[in-house]
Amino acid sequence: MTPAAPAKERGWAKALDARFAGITDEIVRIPLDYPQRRNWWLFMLAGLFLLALFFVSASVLFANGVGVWGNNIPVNWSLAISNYVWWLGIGHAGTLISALLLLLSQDWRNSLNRFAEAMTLFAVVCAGLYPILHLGRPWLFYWMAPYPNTMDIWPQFKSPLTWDFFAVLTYLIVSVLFWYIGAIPDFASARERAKKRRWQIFYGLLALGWRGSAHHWWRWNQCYRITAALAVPLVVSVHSEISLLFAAGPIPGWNTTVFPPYFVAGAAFSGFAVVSIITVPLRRAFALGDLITSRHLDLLAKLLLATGLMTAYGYVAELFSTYYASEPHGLQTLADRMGGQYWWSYWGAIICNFVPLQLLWQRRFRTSPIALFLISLSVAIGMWFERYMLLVTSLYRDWLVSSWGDYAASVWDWTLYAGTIGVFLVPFLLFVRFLPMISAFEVKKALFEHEEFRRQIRERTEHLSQGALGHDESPRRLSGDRTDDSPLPPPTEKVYGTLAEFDDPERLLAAAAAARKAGWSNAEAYTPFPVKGLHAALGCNDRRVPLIMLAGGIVGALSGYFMQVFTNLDFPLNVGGRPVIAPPAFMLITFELMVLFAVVAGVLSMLILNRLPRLNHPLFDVEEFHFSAVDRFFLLLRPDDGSRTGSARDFLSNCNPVRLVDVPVRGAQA
Amino acid sequence: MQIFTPSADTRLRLFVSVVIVLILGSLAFLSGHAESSFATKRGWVQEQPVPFSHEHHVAGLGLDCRYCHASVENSAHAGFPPTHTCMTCHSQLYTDASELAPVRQSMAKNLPIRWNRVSALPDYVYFNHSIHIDRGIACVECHGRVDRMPITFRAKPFQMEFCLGCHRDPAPHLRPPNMTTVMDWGDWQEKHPEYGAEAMAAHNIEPEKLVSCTTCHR
Repeated sequence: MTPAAPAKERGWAKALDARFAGITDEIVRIPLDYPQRRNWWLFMLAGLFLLALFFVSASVLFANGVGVWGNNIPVNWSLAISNYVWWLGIGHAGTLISALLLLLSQDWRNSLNRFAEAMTLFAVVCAGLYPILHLGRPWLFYWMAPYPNTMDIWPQFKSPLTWDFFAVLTYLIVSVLFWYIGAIPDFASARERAKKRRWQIFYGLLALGWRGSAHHWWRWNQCYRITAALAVPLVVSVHSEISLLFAAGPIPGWNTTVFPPYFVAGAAFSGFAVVSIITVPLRRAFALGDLITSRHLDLLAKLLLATGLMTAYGYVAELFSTYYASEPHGLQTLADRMGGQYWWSYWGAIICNFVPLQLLWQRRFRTSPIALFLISLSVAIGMWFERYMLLVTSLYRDWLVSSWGDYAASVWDWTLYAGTIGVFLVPFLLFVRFLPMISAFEVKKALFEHEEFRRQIRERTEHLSQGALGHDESPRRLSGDRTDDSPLPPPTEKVYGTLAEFDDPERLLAAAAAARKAGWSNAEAYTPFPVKGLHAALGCNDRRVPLIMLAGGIVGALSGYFMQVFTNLDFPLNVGGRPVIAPPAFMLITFELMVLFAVVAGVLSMLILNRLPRLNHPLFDVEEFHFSAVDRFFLLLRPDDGSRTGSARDFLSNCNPVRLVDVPVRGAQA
Repeated sequence: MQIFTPSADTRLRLFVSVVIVLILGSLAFLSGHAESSFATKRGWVQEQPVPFSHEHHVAGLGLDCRYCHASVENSAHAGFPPTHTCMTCHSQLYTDASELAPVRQSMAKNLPIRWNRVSALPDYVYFNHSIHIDRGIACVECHGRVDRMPITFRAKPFQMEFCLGCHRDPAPHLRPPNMTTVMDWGDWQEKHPEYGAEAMAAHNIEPEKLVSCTTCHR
């Protein structure tokens, strides 16, 4: 190969290429050639034991009813609901980290977001199980959904309990979709790296035939970013709504306006803690120190510290408002929390949450994996104490002395709680074992953009020092030598198109722009990560995905709102004298359905407009095409008719590609 | 690397279509099932220890409902007749009929006959017969034309929407309280179009209260 660009330039591109390949290798090899089989099985056995414990506890519960728990009449929401809130709080960090940092263009998220989102999914599943198990007749949980029924009634849409159903369901679906579409490109690279047939089929089905074309990436990017933009307020709305389960009740210790922000901050706090708890061992077990660097630990620790201080503010605000109101029952509840029978839950929360946390002011603790792990563990325990304290100390002494009572969790409460840890651990371990746990393509994209930026700075300073201000800034020339070490195969009779391989996105961009200029209207590019400007170079300006998402959001919001109006008119219920049509009470479900419809519409339209799933495609017949999922950049020119193949080859060979390949039409290669 | 054959896409689409059709089909099946007489047991003859014919006793002999269901006017339950009630006639009539053997046995052993329930409401529904009779809801409204039932069956689907149909709009279902056991009302509604509204006013019947949760679920 005779490089067209200066040797230094080529060296830079080669080094970057090697790193791209290294990233894919490092991440994708983990499921394909798993390094930690013994430890994985040890964890898996523990997880399976806990999962079995879950099934036993749930069976005992179904056979005997919720009486096997410690619940009683003053404390009728107890361990089940405090664990529910605990799990759901944990389940908020993944989506929050991923979506918020994506929108803020914080590239360090790329090393954490995939497994943080997976953690979210399984934590939400654990959370979602609790209210269903708590129902007493869990097989009737679908009664929470509004569906035409022989009872002629509808859910009570002015109750936070009904909002909860919509919020958790929406959150689960949106989190699954956000995680899945974020992982499709990595499924594609795993598909291309897999050697065994069953792995190829497994990843091939998951990747839906993703080819990483410029159009794929363009629509994917639109869908992914808007979903992220919707997911952030969704996280806030879901945990605000959870807090209303408490704050909307007239119970001293619950009925305060600080609850929604206090819960959201607490949820993010516990979630970041569990992300750290998971990050540290994963990083160590798979030697991912070069992808999850000490900078990542440092940033995670800062987030933990920040959300911890916000949660601490919630404690202070609660103290302040209780003393400021000086309402006797509120004061009594506070006294019960600090010095009553369950004092250990209050002080346990304060100490575990906020005392070790203060170490994180120092950088050496933030970047020490073991310190971060232990502090996070303390926070996870502390947040568990907090939920227990909020539930039990508020309920065990109600307004009426006659309805005071004590609470102690039963054995089955504890076994079920331990069992949900198995419900979390088993799928998470399966995820670690079988799926790429770090977003390889986003790490590559960030690396490329970072290196690109540094290169531009370097070039500019060099040019300035050489006094070459008027010089052409782009060192690339399109009219380069043909690559004479890769002899062109003779043109076949019928081709799908001609594929040019480049080792560097800059060259691909230039070639794409030139092809478009030369009138190749159906040119298509394939890249391992979204390359900025490529869609513009190819003249792709498809805005249908955002428009469909907007339409989905409008339809969702309208149907959510008018569903509630209609059902309330259909069977007017007097709920504490509230008006039949109560817009403030209808807002949460309106919002949740807006997000749900927009995201589902976005994902479906992204897939359908990209013509996915498409398992079999002529491009997959090209041996070299699998590099498009790793570190190579391809431009495809499709002839309008067979006679123009020659000119496509000529055109592309002038663009200085590494290689030129004809893509045979399906079946024509035989 | 071409992993899948060209037909894989067709098979995938077929699979997705089948899944969608199955989901929609099962939803259609479930909604049809919920309203079906299979789920509500409407029209299904209930096996009884004695093949008692309401048609014979009501239409043929002209017995009033209250002759046997004696507590219907002043109790939550309409009441099942004690064997003595049967024996008021059957100590004299059909004394050797094999079908009536369980009745004679019940009398001899002083053990009630175990009839099988035809019209059952769930335990969480508070239902009182006497108030319905007192306000003039005819037996036929819920139990159908028992005078045409050789073997008794459930005439109406005893689902909540059936109860609510009347509780939301009681007027067309109201009759003079002293005539509630009449089976055939013919064109009564056309002849007395204003009766319902008048009865509502006379008895202070307010539909808003009738559809309150606690009216039936106490």
